[in-house]
Amino acid sequence: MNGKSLAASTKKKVDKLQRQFKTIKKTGTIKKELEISSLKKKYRIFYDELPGLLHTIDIDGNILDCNREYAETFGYSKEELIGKSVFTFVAEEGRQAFHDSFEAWKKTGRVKNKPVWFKKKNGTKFLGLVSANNLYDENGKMIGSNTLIKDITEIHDARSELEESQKELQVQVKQLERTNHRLLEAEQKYKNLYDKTPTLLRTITTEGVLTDCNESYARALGYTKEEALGMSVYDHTAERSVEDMKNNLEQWKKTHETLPAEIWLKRKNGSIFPTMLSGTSLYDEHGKLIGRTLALTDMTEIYEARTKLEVHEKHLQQQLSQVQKSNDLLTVAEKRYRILYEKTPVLLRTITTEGILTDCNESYARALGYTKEEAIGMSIYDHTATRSIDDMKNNLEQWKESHQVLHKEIWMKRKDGSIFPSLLSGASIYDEHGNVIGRTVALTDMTEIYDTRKKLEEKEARIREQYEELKKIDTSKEEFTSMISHELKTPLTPIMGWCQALRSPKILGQLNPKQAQALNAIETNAIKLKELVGDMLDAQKLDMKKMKFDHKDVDVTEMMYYLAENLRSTMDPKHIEFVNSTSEKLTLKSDKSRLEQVLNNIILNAVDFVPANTGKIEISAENKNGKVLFTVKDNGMGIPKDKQGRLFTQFYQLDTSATRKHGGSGLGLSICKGIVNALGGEIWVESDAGTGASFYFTIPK
Amino acid sequence: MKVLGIDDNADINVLLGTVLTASGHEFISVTDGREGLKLIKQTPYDIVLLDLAMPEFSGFDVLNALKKEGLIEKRKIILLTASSITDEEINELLKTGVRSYLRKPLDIEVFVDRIEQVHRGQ
Repeated sequence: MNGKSLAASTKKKVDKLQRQFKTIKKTGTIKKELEISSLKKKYRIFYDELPGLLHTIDIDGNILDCNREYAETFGYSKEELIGKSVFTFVAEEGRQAFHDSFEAWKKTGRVKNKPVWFKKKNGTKFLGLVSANNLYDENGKMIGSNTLIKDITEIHDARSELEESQKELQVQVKQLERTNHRLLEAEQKYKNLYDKTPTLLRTITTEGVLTDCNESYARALGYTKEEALGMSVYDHTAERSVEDMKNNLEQWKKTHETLPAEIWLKRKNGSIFPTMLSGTSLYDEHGKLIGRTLALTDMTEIYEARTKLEVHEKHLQQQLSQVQKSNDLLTVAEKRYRILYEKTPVLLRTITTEGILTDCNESYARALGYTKEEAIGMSIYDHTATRSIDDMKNNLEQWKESHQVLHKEIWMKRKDGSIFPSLLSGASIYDEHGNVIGRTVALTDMTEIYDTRKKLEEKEARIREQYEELKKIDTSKEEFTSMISHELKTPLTPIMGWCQALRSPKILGQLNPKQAQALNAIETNAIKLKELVGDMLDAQKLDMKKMKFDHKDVDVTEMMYYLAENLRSTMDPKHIEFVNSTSEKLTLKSDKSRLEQVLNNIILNAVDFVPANTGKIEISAENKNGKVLFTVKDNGMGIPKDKQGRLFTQFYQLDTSATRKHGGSGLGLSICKGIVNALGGEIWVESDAGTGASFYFTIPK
Repeated sequence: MKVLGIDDNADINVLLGTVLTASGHEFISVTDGREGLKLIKQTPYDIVLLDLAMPEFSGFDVLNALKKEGLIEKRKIILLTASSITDEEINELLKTGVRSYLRKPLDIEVFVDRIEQVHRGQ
């Protein structure tokens, strides 16, 4: 039985007793003493056996009686208890309260329904709730009370627990309240934000009906917020953007994503303005799409700015495309350069001013037996043969001073230590400030060239030897010819001299006619021999370019005159008509005796070729284009065209009886050509077979 | 007049001697350059005929030796030359005091005329 129900049942019993007691009292005890006596007994039993702690106190609090449970509970005997003050059994902590309560009862007869801590004999305490039925005397004066004490310790404990849990509950409630408050605040803030942001916000269903919008939105469109809600988005969309809006909505329904789009909105008054649309989807608690919130940025200003920008942009685009073009060209050029760099069979390397490789092409790496990765970062001296290290150093220093890469033959060293010759050439690389930062060097593998050169050198040496030998031979030939000429001439002097001496009667006496004829034959042949030797010497000198020429004033007119006069006697035997038709006054700076030699030679040739009696030879000299043109014209048999070309070569003779008659060395015209050319002129012949020949030569003034 | 001929070709010496003797002149000849030089130094001949092209001791050697002793001017020397010697070389020699020259092969008449001209100092 818990404390609460015990207390209740106790009170009921007490009430019942009181009613009985009142009834008894009313019936009058004095009159029915016997009844009273038996009643007293019954009462006694009832009093003792009454559950709960019952005692009877007088007006001062002295215990007059108590029931069994009371005595048992407190641990005293009934005799010990009776006569004692009720205060004796109140615990220290409750004594003041009990005292106040007791005094109040004495005055008012009412007991405060307030629990009091009581103390048992064994020292344990319990909380008791006190209720009292006051006892009155026959005058109605209160003389004491039957007091019932209810042990409510358990109730008290339970209530304490209850109170504590209630307190906790309250704390939690407070926390909840605070959270709630914050939520409210956040919502309010969001609401404010939604309403107050300058961005136009609207929330729509999947069907495009507005369920919310902010004030900016409504204001921008010229509606009140209330008007705007419930309208369709199409009511707010300009004609031109309705398609776009539909597409956007369909797209969103499919993908749940709102694509940014440019949408023209329509105001209440029908005017339109551009906006940029963006948004987020709204889902219900089951994840089902129920709508979206759209942000619409008024683009009017942006639009105007953009129009301006577009013009700018067009301009820029043009410039850009031009830049792009040149850039493309550059890229192409760079690519080409790169391909060229990589693919050329020439070995290319790029180095810093310190001689470290920053790049090289595959040809280079391969030629040196490295991979490209290995080669880059190495020093050029790693790739240079010992014999060329100094040259390489000098070349690098030279380059650093002058920025020019001198061509140089450098021996390169392969990874395996073998070496090969190469020809180095290159160009400097500059940074944007014009400082030299490196150079690209081309190395031509010279191995083949080198081998070839070696062979060439050997060949050249052989040729040189042969040449030296030939030169020796030539020199000796020259010496031989010179010697022969001299040796041939030497005997001519006494022969011709003795012929002359014999012809002179005063020296060796008069010869008879037969002796004179013999002497003539000797002398004529001696003269021919002299001429042959002379031709040989001249040809030799011209060949060796050893003929020496005068450079003196020559009176051409006078020369031609005397030449004609001296030759006239030669013409007589054949009765040749010989004419010198030079009329101008002409002068030259040249070698007179050589000119005479040429003319004599040509004229004496003509004498041989013209017919006797009807033969005609005409010589002339004239000014022509700053030169003097000499002509020897005959009416001989002429020279066939196919033979004219070879006429001026050595030992060439026309195969004719006339030639044989004339004889000669076969060097005459070649000597003429040699002399004319040496004097700076030209010699040629014009002839048709049968109509004679004209020899021409020019001499510069 | 007394003429000295120096030429390694004895036939020429005989020819010249014959021609000059026929003209009433006295002619002595040698075929060796050194011997010729010795005679030039010893005797002041009226005319010396000197062949340039001689083996061992040539006409040039003779002239060099005479030049050292300042005798070229004092002797009347006529050079006998082959065609291998150029005009310029001869002109150089003429500057040293040589009187005249004659090219071989000689024309006898020209030869006699020239000797007489030089003897007369022309």
